[in-house]
Amino acid sequence: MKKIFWTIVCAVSAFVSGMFLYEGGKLFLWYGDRRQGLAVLLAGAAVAVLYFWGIYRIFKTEEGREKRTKIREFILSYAAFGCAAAGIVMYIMRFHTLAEGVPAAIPIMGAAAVIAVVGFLINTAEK
Amino acid sequence: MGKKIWSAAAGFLAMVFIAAVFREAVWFGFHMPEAIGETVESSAYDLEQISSRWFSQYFARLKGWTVPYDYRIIDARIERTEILDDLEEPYIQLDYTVYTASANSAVVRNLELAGTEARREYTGQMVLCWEEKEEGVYELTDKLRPVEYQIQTPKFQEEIRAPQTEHYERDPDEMMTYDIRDGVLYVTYDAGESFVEVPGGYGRVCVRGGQYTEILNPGSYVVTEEFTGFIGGHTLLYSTDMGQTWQESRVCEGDYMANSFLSVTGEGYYVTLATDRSLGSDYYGTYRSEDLENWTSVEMPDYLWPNLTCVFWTEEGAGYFGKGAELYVTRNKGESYGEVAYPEPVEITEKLGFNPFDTVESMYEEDGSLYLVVGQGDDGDYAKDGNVVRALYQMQDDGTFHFIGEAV
Repeated sequence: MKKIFWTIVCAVSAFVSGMFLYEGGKLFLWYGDRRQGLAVLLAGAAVAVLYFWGIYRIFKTEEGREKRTKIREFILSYAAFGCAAAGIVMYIMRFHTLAEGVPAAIPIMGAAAVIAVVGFLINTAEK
Repeated sequence: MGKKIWSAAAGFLAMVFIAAVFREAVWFGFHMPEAIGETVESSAYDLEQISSRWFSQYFARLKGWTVPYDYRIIDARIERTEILDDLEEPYIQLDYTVYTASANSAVVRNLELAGTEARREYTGQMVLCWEEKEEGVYELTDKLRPVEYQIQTPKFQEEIRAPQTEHYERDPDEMMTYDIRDGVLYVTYDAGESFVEVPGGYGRVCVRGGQYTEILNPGSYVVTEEFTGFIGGHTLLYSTDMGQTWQESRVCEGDYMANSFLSVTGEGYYVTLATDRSLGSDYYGTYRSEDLENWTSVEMPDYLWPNLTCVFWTEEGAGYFGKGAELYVTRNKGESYGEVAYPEPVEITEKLGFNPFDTVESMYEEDGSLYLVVGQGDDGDYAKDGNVVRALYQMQDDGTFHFIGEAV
């Protein structure tokens, strides 16, 4: 169950990150819009963090792990989801002011927290 | 462990590739919406309301992630509207601002925008024509740029069909000369304090090749108290009583107008005008009269036949013919001609590295001295204070021309 969860997270994050990275690269190199391209590339890189964390979680062995380690991993998972959410927010809100961006970021960050908690609960339930 | 890292990286790259293909496929499916033929529903024929509604619909299709950055916008809003009624059908002009998703040249070109100081903010203009297709449904029948609309207006068509005029500005220091105001040719004998109209002069003297040329070449008219004359076509228009009465004298047959030259000497009047044109060259003939009624042709050698730039007959009856940089003279009314040499202006040639003066432009007599003005032709670019410079020569007692300075 845990592996399925992280596999889905990896696939989605890799696809979203790939779209952002490609779009950012094209803006930067093809259209010559350096500022916009850099912002979208940064958003793609932020989402890619979640992919690599997910890969780590898929390949990580669960045997002999202490409770402290699990809490640390939960915090890191939450940070990875937060990173991805920040990337998506950055992409969506790149044409808006900070005042407009913050309210829009709240539901996305909330969704990231929910997914991270769900992941933690799946992990705990399996134990 | 290393294998797992490589697998993760390869998986990521594969997903990036798939995402890129997906992105391009979506963008490839985009087509710029056709404006002409689109319809808008409206309860009344209100051009502003109809156009505003269509504008919102049209630009909404250029928003969103499915639109490539060559066309993608964030927002567009109308800043100003103006109803145009120069044509049979009423048109409406929209001035609008567009906020694009990316600052790139393709979107500016595709959406026909103009840049502003703000990044990704552009302005645009369009002129629309609407036609009622059926009850309450209006179809966009024409979409133009403002300049395209202006070209179609009767006013513009009239302007481009009207002969273009090169306007003349009289030198206020010149005592006796001509002036042109509101399409009327005048002469003045007192530096502009009073003017005498030359009846029908503007239409006859200033028309050349279907165009109006108010700037007459210096040798083509004479304004003195004793004799005032202009050449219009192949006719001399003249007055011997300071413009109180005017007469016409037909110099030769034909009506072709190119450069023309008029000189008054102690022995008679000389007119040189183009009598023929072939393969881009004007061919000239010179005519002489003592009574302003009977004109006789002056013999000219073949080399003086085409493209003369200056003809001047002195008071004593010596005829000078300028042809480009060359200057010829006859002292026996055309029986024989000889070339006249004039030196290069050494100071200017040394300064510039070449002699820019290559066209004999005009000659005149003043206080018993003969002066020669040599210009730079059509390609002249040696200028001072924004004025193209000419070389001024004065004839010395020994019969040779000496460079005495620059003139503008």
